[in-house]
Amino acid sequence: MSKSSKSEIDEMGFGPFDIGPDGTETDLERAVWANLDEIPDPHIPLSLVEMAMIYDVTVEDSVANIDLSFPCMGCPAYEFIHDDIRGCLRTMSCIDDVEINVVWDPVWSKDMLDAEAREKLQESGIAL
Amino acid sequence: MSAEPAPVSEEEFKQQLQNGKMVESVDEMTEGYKKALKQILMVSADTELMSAPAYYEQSLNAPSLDARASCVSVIQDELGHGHIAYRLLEDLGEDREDLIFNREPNEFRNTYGFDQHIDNFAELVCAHGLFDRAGITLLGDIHENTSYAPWKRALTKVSKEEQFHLRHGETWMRRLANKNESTKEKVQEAVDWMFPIALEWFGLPDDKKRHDDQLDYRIKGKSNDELRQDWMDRTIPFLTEIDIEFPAHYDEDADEYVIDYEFPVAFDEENKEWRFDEPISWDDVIDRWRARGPANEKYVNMIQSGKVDVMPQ
Repeated sequence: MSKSSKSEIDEMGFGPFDIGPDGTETDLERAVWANLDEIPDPHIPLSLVEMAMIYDVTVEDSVANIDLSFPCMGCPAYEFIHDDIRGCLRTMSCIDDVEINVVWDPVWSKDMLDAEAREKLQESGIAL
Repeated sequence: MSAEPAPVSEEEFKQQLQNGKMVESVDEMTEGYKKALKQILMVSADTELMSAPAYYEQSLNAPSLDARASCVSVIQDELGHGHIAYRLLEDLGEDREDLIFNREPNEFRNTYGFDQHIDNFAELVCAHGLFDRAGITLLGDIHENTSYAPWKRALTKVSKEEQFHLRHGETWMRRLANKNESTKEKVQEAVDWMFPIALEWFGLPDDKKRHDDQLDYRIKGKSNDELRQDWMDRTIPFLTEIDIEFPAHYDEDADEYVIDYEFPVAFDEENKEWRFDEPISWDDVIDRWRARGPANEKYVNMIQSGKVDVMPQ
């Protein structure tokens, strides 16, 4: 079943979306979020964070754990995005390793995009 | 009835455009501007469209599922880019359906590179790396400099997607060049015939062009030679890094890249080999382009045979 609106997602128990920073992050986790927000989506003119693909970040014992999902199962940039996240976070002095968990749940939805992201997409000619 | 604005001459219009005027619709164009714009849009639309069948077969031969998803996505993007350019041509009075389905193969105006058979995966990723780089060079200039506002806006999305194609192409070129001697040789063989095709792609050298309406009307901003240099400026350091040979070098005195053969030369289409000791004229090159390359009919048929009547008359 495809979900086309936030209300439909709410009804199915996926909302409100429990993704993104929730204010309980450590300084290091906030720094990881900020760095992830600098990684451009390879195909769309937004960052991975703006694309709402990063669901959660935790750092334990210098290992960054990244929960993420993709807008589609056959993402053409699946490998590039993994490489970019590892390449970016390994440059941080307090991070020794990066674990990427592709969670698929909740299912990514256009409703996860905030107003600013929507505006950027529309400016670049991408219909929502 | 509103008063018609006083008509401007082609020369006055060119001057206004050089001073920064932007054009929003066909009502604001002179005939000369419309003709020049149509010509370059047609080449762009046909090139985007014909890259799809050219890339198709070897995309299905990709060595991993991720690589295949990337290759198929490139094709989808290229069809989207073609769609944008044909849609812009509709605003200029052309019929999209007619352009795609009712032209003979030799009437398509795509670049000669996409009239060639792409015979293995190494050739495919080299096409992504070298030909899409040529596309980015040309469209990047238009995106930055064009006076035609609807095209400028449309190219934001196109440019971002082309960068993805290029990254995919260069990533795989690097992988194959580093994997073993056999895969490196495949990359070298592909670059051997594709590099000179890309050099020709940018057209006549500036000293052989008497005038260029596309520059005068600021439909594009850079001359053929400037664009050719831009392409070499990006491509050559990458090929050097992955230890692949190419027929050009950097000339310190001239402060530019110089081609290592008497440009242009004859091309043996059947064997995809350049005859570097056989210089030809640009008239000969244009004749070769107009005769179309060996895969032209096959690729146009792949596109045109895909038409189905979903709404029978």
